[in-house]
Amino acid sequence: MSSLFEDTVSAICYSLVADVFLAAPVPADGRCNEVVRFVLAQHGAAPLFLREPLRMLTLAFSLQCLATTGRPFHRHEHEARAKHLRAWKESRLKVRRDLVRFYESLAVLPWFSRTGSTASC
Amino acid sequence: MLDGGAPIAGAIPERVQALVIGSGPGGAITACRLAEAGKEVLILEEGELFREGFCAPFSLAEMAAKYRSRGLTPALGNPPVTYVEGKCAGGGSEINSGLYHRTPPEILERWRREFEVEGLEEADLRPHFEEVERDLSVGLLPHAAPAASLKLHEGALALGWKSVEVPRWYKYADGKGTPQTMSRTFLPRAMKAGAQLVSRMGVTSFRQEGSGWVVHARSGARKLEVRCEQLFLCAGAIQTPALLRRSGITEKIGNSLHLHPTVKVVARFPERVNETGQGVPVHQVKEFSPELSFGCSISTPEYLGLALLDHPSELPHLEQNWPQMAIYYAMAAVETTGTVRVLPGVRDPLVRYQVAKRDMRILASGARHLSQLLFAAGAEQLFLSVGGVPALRRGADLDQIPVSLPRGRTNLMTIHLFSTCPMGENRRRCATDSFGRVHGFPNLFINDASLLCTAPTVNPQGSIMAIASRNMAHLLHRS
Repeated sequence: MSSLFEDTVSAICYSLVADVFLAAPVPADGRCNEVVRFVLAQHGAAPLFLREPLRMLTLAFSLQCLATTGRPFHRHEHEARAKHLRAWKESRLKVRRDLVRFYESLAVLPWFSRTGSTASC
Repeated sequence: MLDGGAPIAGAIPERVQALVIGSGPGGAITACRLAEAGKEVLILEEGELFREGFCAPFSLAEMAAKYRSRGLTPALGNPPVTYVEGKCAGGGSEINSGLYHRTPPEILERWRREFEVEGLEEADLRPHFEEVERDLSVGLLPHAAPAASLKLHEGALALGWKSVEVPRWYKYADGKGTPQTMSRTFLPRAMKAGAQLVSRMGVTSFRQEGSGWVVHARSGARKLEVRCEQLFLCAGAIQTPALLRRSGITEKIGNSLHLHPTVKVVARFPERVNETGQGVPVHQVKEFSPELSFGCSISTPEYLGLALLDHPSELPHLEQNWPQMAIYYAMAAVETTGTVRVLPGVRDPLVRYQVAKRDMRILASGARHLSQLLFAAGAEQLFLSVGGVPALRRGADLDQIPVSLPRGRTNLMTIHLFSTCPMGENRRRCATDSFGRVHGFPNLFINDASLLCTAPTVNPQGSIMAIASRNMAHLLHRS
């Protein structure tokens, strides 16, 4: 059973792919699931002093959505997710901008790793 | 090449003459010299020993397998500086580009003068450089450099700036180059001479026992205690000071981290400059050296995507445009220093590095000169890894690069870290003597990037290996 944290990370990844990397609907070819798996694995390997604050901030990201709309981030439709993500990305609070940047910088790697048939293991 | 994929399961001795922690460039050469001198040597490596061809170089799979924390290691500051460390048998040599420089003479002179390092004249190091160069087959490319690398060179020539092809530790056969990493060179030699390598065994701490040392290590639930007459710390510029501090040795340890902060610029050319499997770029521009060096990075689509995050409108077009794009960097040799500390109960060391105001200006100057060079090379658009700086389309746009890079919007990274336990006789600044023996402790040595007194201003592996070789020659000659 997935946790609120994992659901939130998954929804963030899908939003980033659709809105930032692709500017188009996410194709149903499983590629985005690979992105989610990669991002979760990266988060899990991060140093403790980074991992736990990121987890708390991610939960705060989703719970702020819950407080203002009655639904956590991952329960929203695409447009509402994009709006919430954009609000954090353009926030005056650096910590919010940093959270979005963290997920962007992780999700971008697996998303483009298949471009040009980049070799993998 | 060592074969691996699993830890060596044989009996691990409870007592050895020499124990080496870490198997990167410093540790491999240390173990090799000791073993070939007839010493009984045990190498403990925290990472895994991977079989040949386990994963493609510079792939995400390599990042996940061979980088510490899968590459997620920031030095905290404003801006933070992302760094990477190898965590595998062979250490950093397994993941870097293999670019080789000797330590510049003016840097050696500075180390002798400010840190009072003895035996560090050019003539003292020359035989060690020559030996390393021979053993690692250091040389120039036998074929044309990648197009993106040549673009850098062309831009420099157009401006009359100094540009060089940097030699690499590669062997070439049938048009294919093989990096002469530690797992292909000094580690097999060490083991042939009798050294034992145990991978997936992380050292947690050590303590003094008489004139020797007791080392505590663990691999999952398995715990290990080994006694040794001589202990060599070669775990790199972050892990070595962390291990020392965790073991209660703190004098001049982890207080003077130097690194080469690097800012990136993506260039788009009208013609194709990038392709799948393109080799490692080899040119560096040294016109503003030692303060600034320019080079070309690995420019696979995923790394291009990462470098373009501050220009999100480009990302949806990356699938089409990436063959015309490459990543370039301006690397600064700056005076800012950082710290390495350990927190109780936390495995990962806390690395802090706050880039000084002056150094943010140097980096901005680097970004501007690099951009000028790339326009001279024919780039039609440039994208800095600095938020708020728009895409640059012509020389006049260089004015849009701020005089000092903005702290909150600049993305810096580095792969070069050193100087956390500087060597020398100057006891106010140095953790070890001129040859790596930790001041105040018998039979305890450091032999890795931690010893370099300041930033060497060039890719550091050549300096690390030559100094490690020199230190071992000194020790073995003395004993």
